[in-house]
Amino acid sequence: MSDAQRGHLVFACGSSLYAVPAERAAEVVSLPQLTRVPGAPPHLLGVFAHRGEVIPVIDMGVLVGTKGEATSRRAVLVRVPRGSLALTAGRVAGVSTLTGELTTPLGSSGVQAHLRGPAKAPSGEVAIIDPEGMFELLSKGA
Amino acid sequence: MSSLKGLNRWVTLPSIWAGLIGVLLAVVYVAFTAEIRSGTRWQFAVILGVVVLVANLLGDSFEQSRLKTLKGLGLGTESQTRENLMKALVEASRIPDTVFVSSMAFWVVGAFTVGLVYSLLPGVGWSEGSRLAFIGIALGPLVSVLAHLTVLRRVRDVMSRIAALGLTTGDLVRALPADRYQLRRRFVLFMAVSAITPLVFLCDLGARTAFALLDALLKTTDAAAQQGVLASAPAAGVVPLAVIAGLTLVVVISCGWIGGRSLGEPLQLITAATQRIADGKLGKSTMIPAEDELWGVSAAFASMEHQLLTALRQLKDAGVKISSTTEELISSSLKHEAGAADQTGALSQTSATTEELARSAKQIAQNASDVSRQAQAMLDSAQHGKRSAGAFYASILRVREGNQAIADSVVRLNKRVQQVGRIVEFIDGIADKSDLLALNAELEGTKAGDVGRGFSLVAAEMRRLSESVMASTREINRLIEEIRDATNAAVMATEAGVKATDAGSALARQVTESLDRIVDFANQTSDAVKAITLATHQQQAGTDQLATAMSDILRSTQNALGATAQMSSANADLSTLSGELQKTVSRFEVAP
Amino acid sequence: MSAAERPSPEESQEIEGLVLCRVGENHIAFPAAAVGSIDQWEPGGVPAPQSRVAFGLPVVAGKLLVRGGFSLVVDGLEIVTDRAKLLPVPAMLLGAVGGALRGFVQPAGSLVPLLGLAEFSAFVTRGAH
Repeated sequence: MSDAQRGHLVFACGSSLYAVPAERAAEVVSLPQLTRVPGAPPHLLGVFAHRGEVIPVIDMGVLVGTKGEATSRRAVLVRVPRGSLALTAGRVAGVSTLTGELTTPLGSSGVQAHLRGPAKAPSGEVAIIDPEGMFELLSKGA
Repeated sequence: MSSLKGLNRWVTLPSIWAGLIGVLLAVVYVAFTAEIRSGTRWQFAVILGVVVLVANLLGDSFEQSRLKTLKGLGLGTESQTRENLMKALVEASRIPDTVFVSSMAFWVVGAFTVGLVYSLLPGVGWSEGSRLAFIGIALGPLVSVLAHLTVLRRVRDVMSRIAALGLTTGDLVRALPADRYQLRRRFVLFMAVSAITPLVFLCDLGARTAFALLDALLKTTDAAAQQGVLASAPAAGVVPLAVIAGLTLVVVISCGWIGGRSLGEPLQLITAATQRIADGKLGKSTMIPAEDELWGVSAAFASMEHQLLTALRQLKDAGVKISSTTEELISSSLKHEAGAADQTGALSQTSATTEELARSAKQIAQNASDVSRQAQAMLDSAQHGKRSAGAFYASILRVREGNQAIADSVVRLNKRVQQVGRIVEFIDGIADKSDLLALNAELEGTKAGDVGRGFSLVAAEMRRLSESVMASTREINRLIEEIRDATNAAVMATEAGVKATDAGSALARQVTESLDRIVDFANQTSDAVKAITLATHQQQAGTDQLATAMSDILRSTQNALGATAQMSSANADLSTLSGELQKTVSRFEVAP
Repeated sequence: MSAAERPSPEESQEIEGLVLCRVGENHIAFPAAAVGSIDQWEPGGVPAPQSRVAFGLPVVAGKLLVRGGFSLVVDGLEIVTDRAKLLPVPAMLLGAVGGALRGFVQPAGSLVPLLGLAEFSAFVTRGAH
């Protein structure tokens, strides 16, 4: 089954909606107090321990350049083969089937290069995050 | 000072000379009339010399004993105090009489002694001796008078000198009171002596001559011899008679001359002094020594001059005083006039002021009654206010109680709300967790594919349930917030209310205090008004009195003005008088 | 720590002896062996790398850690002698903090990054980038 069939986990971050492929979305977690990392970029809000693992927390809004969601209690735990990260979420809509542009990058470089869309979800227009690409990007930038 | 030195001797010296003159007279008489037996002349002379010497010595010592103070003053053994001077003066004044008496006494005794002693000589009988005694006794008074008069002159001199040493007229009069008026007696005595002594001698001589003639006649029986005796008798008797008479006359006339001079001198001096006074030269009055009536005149004159001097001095002083006093009076009367004029001016002002006072007193009384009314009104309203404040305070207290009740209710409410909030939070937490679980379940279900589809649906349902719960909790939270707001508002309002009530009660207290003060003030005001009214009445009474007093003052001022005018004319008269007085006094040169 | 030294996600190591440093509201930790001497430091003192810069905080007085030719200023510190579990660095942060990040420790329950003193000191000196 393809990503599109399996659905995406749609969540809001700031004023935008994002979607992560469901198989990559491991869990929706409730964030505890984050530990700040010295010299961290602004989108890296900190880290937290989850089931014996240290997970970095990224704010998509800050990363994209729009309003962030630094005070959110929830984050979407994304697992890629290389590692894990958590994306802060304001409201998690749920798993939805998306329509529209599912593979077209929103930009040619930077963050936009790893965002696909614009796609459509029942809750609104979403930008689909490419988990592996975003992970690589964030690894370099950290 | 030794100006009195030796005066005690000097003053009695003439008595010696007088004595010697007497002795000479006696000797002459004896030579002519007494029989000194030949051969007894030397004895007679010796007896006479001795007796004379002894008599003089004794007499001199007696006289000197009466001049002790004078001697002492002369030698300096006595101090020249007034008492001593006066004593010396008195001694000196008594000396002439003393001299007279002692002279008489010693002459009598001496004559007796000579006669007696001579009689004792061999071959001398008592008749010769008694004759000698008789001669001496007969001469005694005359010699004494002479001694007295000659000493008198010197005594006057001595008295002047003593007086000049510092005795006032008063001292002199006190020392020698002018009350012994013995001039007549002396005069009679003097006349007697002057007459009798020559008479005695003449009688004696005549008798002796007659007896001698008779003896001679009787002795001779021859008529021719008798005639011869008779013829020679007058001739034999003329020379002695003439000599005796002549000598006696000389002595008597000398005494008369001396006596007359001693009478006349004081009078002359008094006359001169009187003239001096009449000429205006009043100086230090000097003593004019005299005795008896003459001393009376002299003393009286000296007193008079002294009194005159004193009176004139006083007059002069008085004149000066009057003059200066008159000037003072004039100047003060001028001031007085000016003062009286000022007074009149001030009085007219005062009367104007008094009228104003009366007006203002009325005004004050009016105002006081107004104030009293207002104070009463204030008192009424203050009391009304107090009642209102009391009611207000009571209501404040009720409000406070209400506030307290509200506060308590709010506190309870808050507790409940907190409880509700906690419960809701709890529910919300559960709902959230449920939602999360449901979400994750949905995610896993999706990942599982078809197998998990039913799971996902259930999860989705659960999510919806959780979401509705969370929506409810959100609603509840909102309500809780509203309640909280409301209660906060209520609390704030209550607090404000409490503050307000506190402020209100404080205000009520202040108001009550202020009203109390107003009440006090009103009371004080009515007291003050009473006092003012009383004072106004008193003032009116006082003003009336003042008006009366002022009219009195005005009257007396006018009187004073009149009196001042009189005083001015009196002063003018006084001025004139004093000028005249000064002129009169200035005629006398008063030595200071 | 070299890559060989870094614990893999499966393994969890323990570390004995930590220097737990406070930087503002945050914490960082160093192996106790990493720190040579500790001294007082005040602004205006010897120029030393400031850990506060890495957190974007203003410089204040604190403690000076010295080891070898490297030094670092922190607000305060305490020595933790207990053995603490060392969690490995997440894959995304392998290059973080200029390579100074060696892992995370949980001395009192909360997560604290374990750093190498020399590397962190150099990282801060570079400008915390």
